[in-house]
Amino acid sequence: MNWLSVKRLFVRELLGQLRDRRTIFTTVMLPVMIYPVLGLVMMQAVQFMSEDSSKLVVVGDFQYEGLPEMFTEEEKEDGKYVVDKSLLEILTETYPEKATLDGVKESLQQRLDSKEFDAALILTPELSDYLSYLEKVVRGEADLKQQPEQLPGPVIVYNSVVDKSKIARSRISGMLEVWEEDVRDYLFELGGLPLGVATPIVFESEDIAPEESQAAEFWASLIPIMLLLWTLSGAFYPAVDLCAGEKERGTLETLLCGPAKRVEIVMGKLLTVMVFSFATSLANLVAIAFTGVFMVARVMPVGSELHAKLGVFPGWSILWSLVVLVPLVAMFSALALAAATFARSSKEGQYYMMPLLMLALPLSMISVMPNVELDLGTSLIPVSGSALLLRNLVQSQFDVAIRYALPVMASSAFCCYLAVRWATFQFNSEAVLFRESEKWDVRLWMRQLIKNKPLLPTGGMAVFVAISILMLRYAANVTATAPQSWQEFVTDNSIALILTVGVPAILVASVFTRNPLGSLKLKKTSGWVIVLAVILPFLLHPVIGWMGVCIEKIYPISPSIKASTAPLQQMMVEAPAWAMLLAIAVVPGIFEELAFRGIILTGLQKNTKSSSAIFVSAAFFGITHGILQQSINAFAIGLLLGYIAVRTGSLLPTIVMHVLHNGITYCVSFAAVHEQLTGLMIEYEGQPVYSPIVAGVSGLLALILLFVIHVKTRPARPELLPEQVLDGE
Amino acid sequence: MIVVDNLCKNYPDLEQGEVKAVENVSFQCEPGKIYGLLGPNGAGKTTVLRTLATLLKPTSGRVTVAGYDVETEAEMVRRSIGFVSNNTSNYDRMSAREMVEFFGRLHGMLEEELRERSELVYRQLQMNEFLEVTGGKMSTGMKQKVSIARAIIHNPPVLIFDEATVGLDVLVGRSLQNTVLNLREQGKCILYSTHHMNEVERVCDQIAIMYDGRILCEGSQEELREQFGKADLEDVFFDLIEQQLDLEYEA
Repeated sequence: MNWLSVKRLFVRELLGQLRDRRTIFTTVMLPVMIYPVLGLVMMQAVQFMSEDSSKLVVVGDFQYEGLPEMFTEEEKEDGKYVVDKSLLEILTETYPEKATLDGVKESLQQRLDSKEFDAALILTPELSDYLSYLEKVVRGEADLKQQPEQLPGPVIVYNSVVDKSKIARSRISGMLEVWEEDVRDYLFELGGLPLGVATPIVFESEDIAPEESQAAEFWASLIPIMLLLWTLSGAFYPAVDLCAGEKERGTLETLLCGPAKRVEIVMGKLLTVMVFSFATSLANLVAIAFTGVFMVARVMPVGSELHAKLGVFPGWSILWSLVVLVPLVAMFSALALAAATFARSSKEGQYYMMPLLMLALPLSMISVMPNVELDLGTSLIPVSGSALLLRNLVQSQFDVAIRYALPVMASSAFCCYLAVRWATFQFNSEAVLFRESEKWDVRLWMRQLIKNKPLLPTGGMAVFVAISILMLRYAANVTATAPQSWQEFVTDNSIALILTVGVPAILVASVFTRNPLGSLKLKKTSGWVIVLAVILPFLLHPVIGWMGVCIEKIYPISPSIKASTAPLQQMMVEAPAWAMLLAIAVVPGIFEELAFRGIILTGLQKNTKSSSAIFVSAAFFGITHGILQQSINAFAIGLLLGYIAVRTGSLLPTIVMHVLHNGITYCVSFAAVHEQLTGLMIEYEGQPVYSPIVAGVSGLLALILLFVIHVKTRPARPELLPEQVLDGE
Repeated sequence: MIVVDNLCKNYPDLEQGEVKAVENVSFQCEPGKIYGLLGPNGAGKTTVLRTLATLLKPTSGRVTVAGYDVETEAEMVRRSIGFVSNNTSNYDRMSAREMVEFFGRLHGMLEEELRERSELVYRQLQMNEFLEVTGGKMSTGMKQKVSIARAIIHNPPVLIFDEATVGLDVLVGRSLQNTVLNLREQGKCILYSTHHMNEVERVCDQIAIMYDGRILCEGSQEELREQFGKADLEDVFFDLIEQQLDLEYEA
């Protein structure tokens, strides 16, 4: 890659975009303007809300000498909720004679429905009698009677669906709480009891978090998500204009027949998109901080209801988030660029915004979920890690942020690299660059599919099989019931696996290709390869075991998942070995290989480089495993099996390895086997694992064998596809 | 300078499964000559020229431009050609000068060299009046001049014009033809595709008539007239196409 060319392309693209008013408006002007406007609207809304007084009807009244007044104007301190009397418009009515409480309630409900008032408070004669009785008891003027089952009290009538009524209720109940305390204190004083008797124990909790990090959860979760969405949209508009827009205007072909390499063009465009994405997020952050610091404080002064709910605005410290934004911007820009390259026109480009958002939004929502914290595991998840890191920065938890900044950036950088590769691949693809709009007809398409079958599966078929498997597995998992016996487990598991994984692969290979056996990589291979395939699983097992331990360390398995697998563990002990080996070693070994290293890998190899094909097929293999920890393990194993399948061109060694690996895992899980392997195993955190020495030595031996395969299967001439050469890589 | 040997290009197609856009096309163009590719719309001219410009990869066959293979030495090929087609537009938000100089720099020209060369090109193409006008505000004629300037700024040995006169008025069309003739004088190897007969008669030294992805006949204007016994090139063209249609009908 010639960086001078990249720079020239970047400067040109940047200039072109800067001269486009629309881009500048949507990426920079809009965010700068939107927050102050939002703040102003909020200010108005809050004013409107707080100035509205509630209309309250009080039915019944009683007066006692000495008893505290119910509607006091005195403000209580110690954080108690006191309603300003001006916020309550009180209409008093007398309690209708000889009316029942239910009757009064009913008539009030009707009047409430007709919006005559917002809420009503009923003070029954029974309450009045009860209070006077209490007073007499305390004074010693009356005898203590048996308490009635339900004490009479003030009744509030309101409608929880109507906001105004709800506000009125909260105002009355706040007031009643104060009154109740006053009455209690009065009675205690009267009876000569110390006030502390009522609440003998008072809890005190001291929040030791610095004031800045007390910035309530609300802001800490809202700001990262807003930033993420703006970063993505800030990347998307220029990306669409730079790729789909240029295709539409015909300038892309001018650029493509120029001297620059495709990868240089992609980098030039990527840098431009990044500048805009970063500018958008910067504009957003500054606007949020500005609005927050100057407006939130006025809209929600300390002590107000909103302030209590939303917490302190974090202030200027949110500008720290800029540091995290750089890798995030790069990742989103590359993704947007890749998606936009695929589009034929700007209009089509806009359609791809939604899927990208749908991908980014759930991932960023992970940061809002309770109990999710920034650790090594979460920091490696793309988007989620960045959102969590942003959250920590907004909360001024710099120590945690610094610790995990590197993994977050590494994972973002890796995603960015993949997206750039994808975009470059598209820039090299004639089908994408010169895609004409043609009439699409299902019947024609199906007929072509059957009539002009390719010899081997295409990339499209591979992706189709992979997605079918994912959907079928999902459906099977949702509808499956927990097996009650080992027989059920063995049959259910095997049938489900054959139907969801094996059948799609075999069906597509036999119906849509001319060479089904070749499509599934079912061909003979040399004897020595099979011998190595038999030895390798035994050597690799300790290493894979340790890999599992490490993965569990980073992403601990939740207790609920552990509990759900417990009955299965029990069944495994009860079942005969042959049945279990069939269900968890032989069937998965054969059918998963037919699908993932068979048709999917072969299909992907047709459209991309072998290395990318191995990577993508392993990713699919990992995703189908459902549980994250298993997925990561399966992904790594998928890479190895994919490599061996590509190098030997045959599925036989990978089937052997897969079956043996699963079989060994099953056998080693028995205590009896542990005893046999005493010298080799140690205890690690309550789990039996191979000793590190064994793992190290066997891993080394496995590497040597893999190297033998690598050397012996080296293709006669380097496999170089035309686009690689064109790429100049 | 341009050697096309048994070039084939297939596209996947929904109706026919695979379309043979170009089938076993071979020809050669020499420096200082203008080679005309004549054919109706959809004959496969653009596909051939896009392959020469490395925008498309050949399905089979070998193509070299200025001695470089289009598949394995694509970048060197692109450095040696200037490509003008009605699919290669100019940037709307860039002035003529910016556009031309951007491509000059992209070709790695030094500032001094670029200044001298661009002044020469602007003078030759009479562009000095609209150098600061942005692409969006240019007339079709101005745009075409900028395209040519952009294509020749790095002084490439090979020039490819793909239906470059489409949509131009007679005056501008004629001036473009003059520019092409002028470039021939400079010893450039020029490939010129069109479906206008009179243009071919005016500028082309060698002619190939393309139809349905194949070259039907090839030769100089005189050779073609002699071969078919027609005084007019247009008659030659119609005769050939009719023959083809008859053949197709019989089949």
